[in-house]
Amino acid sequence: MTRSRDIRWLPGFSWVTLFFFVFLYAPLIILVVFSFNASRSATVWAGFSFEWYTKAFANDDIQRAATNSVIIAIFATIAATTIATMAALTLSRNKRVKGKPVFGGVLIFPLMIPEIVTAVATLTFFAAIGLSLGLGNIIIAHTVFCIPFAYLPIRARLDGMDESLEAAAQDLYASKFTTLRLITLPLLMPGIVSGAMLAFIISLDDFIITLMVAEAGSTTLPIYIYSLVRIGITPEVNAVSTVLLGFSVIVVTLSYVIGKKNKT
Amino acid sequence: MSSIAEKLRVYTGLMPAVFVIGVFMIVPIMIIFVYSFLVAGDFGGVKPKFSTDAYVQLLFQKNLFDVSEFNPAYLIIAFRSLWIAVVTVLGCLLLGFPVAYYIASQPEDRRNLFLLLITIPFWTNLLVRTYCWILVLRDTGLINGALINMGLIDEPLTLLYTEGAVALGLIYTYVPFMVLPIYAALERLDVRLIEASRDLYANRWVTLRHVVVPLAMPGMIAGSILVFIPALGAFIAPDLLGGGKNLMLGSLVQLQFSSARNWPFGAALSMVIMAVVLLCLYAYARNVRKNGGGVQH
Amino acid sequence: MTSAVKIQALNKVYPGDVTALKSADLEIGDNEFFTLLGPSGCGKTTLLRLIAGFEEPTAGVLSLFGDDISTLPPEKRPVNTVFQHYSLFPHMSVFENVAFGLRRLGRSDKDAKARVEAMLDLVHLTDFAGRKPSQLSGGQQQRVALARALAPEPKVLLLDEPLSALDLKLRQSMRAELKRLQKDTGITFVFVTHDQEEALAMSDRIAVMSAGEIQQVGDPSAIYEHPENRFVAEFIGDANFLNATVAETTPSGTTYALDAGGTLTGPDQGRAKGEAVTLFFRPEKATLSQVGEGPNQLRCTVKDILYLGNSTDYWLALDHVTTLIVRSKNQTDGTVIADIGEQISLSLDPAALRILAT
Repeated sequence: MTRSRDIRWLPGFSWVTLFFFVFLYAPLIILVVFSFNASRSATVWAGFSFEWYTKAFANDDIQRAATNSVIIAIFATIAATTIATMAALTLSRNKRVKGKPVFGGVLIFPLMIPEIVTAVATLTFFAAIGLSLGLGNIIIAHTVFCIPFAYLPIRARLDGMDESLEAAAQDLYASKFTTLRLITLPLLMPGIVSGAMLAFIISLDDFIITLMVAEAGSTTLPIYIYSLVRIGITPEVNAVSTVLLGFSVIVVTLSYVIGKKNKT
Repeated sequence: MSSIAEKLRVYTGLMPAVFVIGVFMIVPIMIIFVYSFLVAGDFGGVKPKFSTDAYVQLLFQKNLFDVSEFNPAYLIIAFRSLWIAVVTVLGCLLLGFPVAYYIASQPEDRRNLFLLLITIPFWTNLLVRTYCWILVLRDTGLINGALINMGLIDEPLTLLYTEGAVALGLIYTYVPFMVLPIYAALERLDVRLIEASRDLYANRWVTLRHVVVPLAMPGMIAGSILVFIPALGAFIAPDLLGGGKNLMLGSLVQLQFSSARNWPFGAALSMVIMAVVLLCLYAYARNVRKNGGGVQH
Repeated sequence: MTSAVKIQALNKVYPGDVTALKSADLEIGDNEFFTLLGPSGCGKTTLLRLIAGFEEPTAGVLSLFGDDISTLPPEKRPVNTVFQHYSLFPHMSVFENVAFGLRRLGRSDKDAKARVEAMLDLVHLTDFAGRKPSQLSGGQQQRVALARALAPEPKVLLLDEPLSALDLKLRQSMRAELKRLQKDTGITFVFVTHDQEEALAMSDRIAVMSAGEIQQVGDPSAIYEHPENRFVAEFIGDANFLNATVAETTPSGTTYALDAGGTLTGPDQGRAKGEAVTLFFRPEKATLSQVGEGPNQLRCTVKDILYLGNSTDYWLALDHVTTLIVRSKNQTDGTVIADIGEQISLSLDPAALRILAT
């Protein structure tokens, strides 16, 4: 009743939306369900079991890969978020900076290049200068493409912030630095947090760039999963993938909740 | 006061970003541009000798008598990539527009919930998400299993390792890139415009075609570009869902830098992909400037 | 008169050659309630931001009690601002907001606490010290903004349309409140508004601005009764304009022949015979009567009648192109002076007729 009275209502659009969400979530749900399947089959349900999780957690290779992934993600996130915050503050608040569109373009440049090109370019560059720092190579590569993901939410938050708050602080005898410390940064924090979370997830999930850049011994979780998938599907992959999935869901939801709480 | 040092100080905050992206992104791309004009080394890498062979190799192949003859193999791969990317964009548009429209017409609380639901898979591991489709599509997978159990078919259908599977995987991966910009355009759309259109004797569908779609066009174009760029160079979906016989550009590039060890050819392929992408972005930027964002009020 | 703020040939040009302020000269006295009045885009907010130090002047000198402060950053100026949308720090309590400036000035905790309490008492918000700005009503936020700006005892307080976000009743009571605060504290207030009623009600003096220029400076009655040009006459209150030529000059007054027909007599303004002038009078200065055709009377046709409650506006046609408005106090019995289409006589006291500079 109320629906057909809505001037915007169009027949069938709600069904397409329903189909869309089923399409979006069905494969993920199947993955989660079969990670608890007692048999190796991915079609027949043979009872609930934690067997694959136990096996996956006991696997030294998986542990090593997971540790590598987390170390890389932490360093890349810290570096990318710091760099992005400084850049966003300068571009959004310093009126004397010239060529802002160019700098803005540089900051989101990594988003405009297809990943495969970034991957081979980075590999070529590291080979050309003979850089071989183990995980360090991957951290550098991740920092680069995490910068725009950290930058965009921080910049959006800064642009949405009332600049007269900073003017008010200066009017009340706060120096530029004090204003940054007491007003701008505390109010910017939700943007920095969500930028950092996105950067973290992007780093944790990256596959193709890591695949090209990684040296022997620097295997990350996605690369390990890929190697398992290439060999053939093993139920451990389901378990590891589910853990990775759960982790991403938690981080994204957390970032959403923080953003929402700070809006009101 | 305003010496050169003083002027540079203004840019201090930008220096780390410019340094990191410049040195580790822009310089590497310039290097592969140079590499695309060199000769392949015997065990990977390059020899410092100018040559356009890498580009010639895209279309021609030297036969046994060292005569160049036309070789469509790579052209076919390029067109397959282009074709699959276009199909992906169309699929995303067809699915994404109604979804974006429906969400935009919901009350605010529900809109935010829907957006969260869209973004969650979007941030989950691409590899994991693509891998899920193997579980669904393979011969002993969910669809074939269900169809055989229902007695509709005896032999499993070949679903996995087809171009269709690749397109499906790509649509699945990139459809959020389409929904979000269209939603952003539709959310700003003033409901009173729809009311005005209906008031002036247009029915729902005529209003959709003549009022809503034109106003959502910037979002649809932005979404199409956001889908097209990664779809063209995609690696995971073609690799996992397409199998060996449906090679796409992304996998081809990766091969040159791994087993084939032909870096100049891989670099040349990368340049071709970049050229297509930059052309798209340039056309988009021109279009935006021409319209001056005037479509959105 | 000591001048609290003195500006000389102050110019502000924004990038893209947008001139916001054209070499303005102005002196604002100590302990004055001074208002910058004008439509949006007239430069009044730019002038305020220049005084506060949020903008740097392109040219000219700005001094505060004799000291040139043109190039000082905002945190070095003993001037505080009440922002249009208050700009209270959302992550700090009311107490912390009011204490912010005092802390920056290095006041001791004890001093600051006493001062904040005094300020909150002044604006009747003592019980709200622990609240966050989002937990306050618009009027309360407004008063916190006032307390915060007054706490460091600025030499000049700048107010940027502080009442525009409030509803009518609250706005009216805040007018009286602001006037009281100004008298109690003895601080010079520079108040920006586009609301002429607000300006007339509160100010000691008003500067009317338009297109980046100061049109007229004066006390409220001078601005209303003796506008210097057509813009000021039109922007403040309602106005009737008549084109005329000087017909006769005598010691007792000057007679003007209206382009629309008829004559009016007014005070001598030293104009030569035959000179073209623009005459002006306020709608409430004229009276209407059914009969009579004498000195300073014009015969008109009633075109429209607008009932306004305490008064009625009569729209009168003098000829085909000239329309005059006369505002008449309503009688207790509710009778109207004339009906639409009737002929009527308009009488004007010669003292109420003004001649405008063109």
